[in-house]
Amino acid sequence: MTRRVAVVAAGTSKKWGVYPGTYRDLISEAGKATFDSNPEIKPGDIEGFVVASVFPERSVFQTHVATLAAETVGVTPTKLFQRVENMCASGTIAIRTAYMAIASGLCDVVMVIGAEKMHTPNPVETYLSLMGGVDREYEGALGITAPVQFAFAAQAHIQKYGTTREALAQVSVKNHANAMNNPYAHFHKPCTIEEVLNAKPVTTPFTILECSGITDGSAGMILMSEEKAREYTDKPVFILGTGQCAYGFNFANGPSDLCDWTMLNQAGKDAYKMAGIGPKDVDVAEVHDCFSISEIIISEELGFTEKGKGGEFALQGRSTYGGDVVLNPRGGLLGCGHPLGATGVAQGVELFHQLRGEAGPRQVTGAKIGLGHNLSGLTEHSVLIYGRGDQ
Amino acid sequence: MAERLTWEYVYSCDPIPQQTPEFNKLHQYYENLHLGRLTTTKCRKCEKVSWPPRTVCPVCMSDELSWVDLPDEGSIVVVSVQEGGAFPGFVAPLVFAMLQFGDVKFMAKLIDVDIAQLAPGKKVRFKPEKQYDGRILPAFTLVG
Repeated sequence: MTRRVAVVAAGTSKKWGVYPGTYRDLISEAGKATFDSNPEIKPGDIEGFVVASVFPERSVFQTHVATLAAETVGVTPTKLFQRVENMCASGTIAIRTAYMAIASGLCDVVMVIGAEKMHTPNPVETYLSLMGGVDREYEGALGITAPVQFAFAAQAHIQKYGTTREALAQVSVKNHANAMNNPYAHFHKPCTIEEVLNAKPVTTPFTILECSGITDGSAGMILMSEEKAREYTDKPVFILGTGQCAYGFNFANGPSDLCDWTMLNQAGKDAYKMAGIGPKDVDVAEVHDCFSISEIIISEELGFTEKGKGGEFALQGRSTYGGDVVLNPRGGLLGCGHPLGATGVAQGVELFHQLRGEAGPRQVTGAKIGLGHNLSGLTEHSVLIYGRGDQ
Repeated sequence: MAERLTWEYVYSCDPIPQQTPEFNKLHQYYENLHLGRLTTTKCRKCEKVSWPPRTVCPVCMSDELSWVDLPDEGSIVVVSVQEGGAFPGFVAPLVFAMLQFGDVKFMAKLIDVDIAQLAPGKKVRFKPEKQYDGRILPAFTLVG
């Protein structure tokens, strides 16, 4: 019998962007913010430690980072220490790993840190490192990048469903507007549909405002068994369900229909089933808007709208405050930037605050159920569902 | 004091894969590209055709595989023209497309094309692209 698992502390580094410090400095900030969010918890209480970090080998010339990060935040893990690297979804998968460790009874208290220092003194190094995130030998070698892969999904959605450029741009408009209310967001500049469409082209159909930024950032979270959590907080946030599904790796081996993200649909269904809820029960969701098209397809596959209607869902305001569900209140990857390993953890931090009613100007009124989603390419998806302690 | 480290070649910063027998069991793939053939592996036991090519069949685990030609011509499913954010060493605009050859899909770079002529359904033909140092990579161009 698995045990219930709760989040009891969460925080992010103060300002995402080009970080004026080292990898250790960045990890320290997430550690401090997390411990500061719940002064009852001390580093000595932590038994397990999971760090999500994608390419420190390349960006800061440091491997072997699980215990480096643990030492940096003052933790001596006695039951679990582990690094998670699953490209863009590493953060959510790190939380999922902590969940598994606690649910199984292996640990009572686990800390998760997501940290990514992407910027280097020579910016093109980062572009080159990102090549390692696709099939390096058969895709990356040709110059193919994540923006191109997601552009293919966008072209397919436009061709199949008649989705408009304005609908894609609306996702960027909404998430940049939400980021205005988030102090740590990398990009604090609102934009209009017109400005998105006229911004610098990246790869058709995307402009630069439809692509998540290269960003340094970090975030942390502490999870406990339900029994332990009650000792440390009156407002635990529970993990109610989770799902994960992948299909293939090389882009050519995914489903033929590039805008049919079956793997997300499956991961979502599994998470809903485990939580005993459906899409209509979700009040707030942090989903992986790495590119504008992503949020449109995600809103379909997670069941917030019908397949093919994601563009209209965005344009009609159904994915924001006052609509069916609020997607990406912290500003998403488009507004906050995407420090690979940190993103999923920061999504969890936002949902923790939302479900405790502590999200300030970003608060979704009365939010009870939150959903976090990370992807690592079109064909691999991870979902977590969070609920308030009274659920 | 040690001299400052200066290497003329750093593989971890080289986008082009190693293509020779001492580093790559599938070197025949690249040798075939030099001969103007786009090939992949087919399992001699269960006949599974894999992409990318394999040293072990992912279906039946046989390590007896042979090289088979992919069709010379395919068609564009979706296409994107990249103008920004290209890797170092790649000159924009770059044209990429998802191609379909019968049952096989292929992520491809298109070269020597008129961008105005690109559209889903257009036919493309294999046209390998020699790299600066003699290595080779697959590419395609529009037919006609």
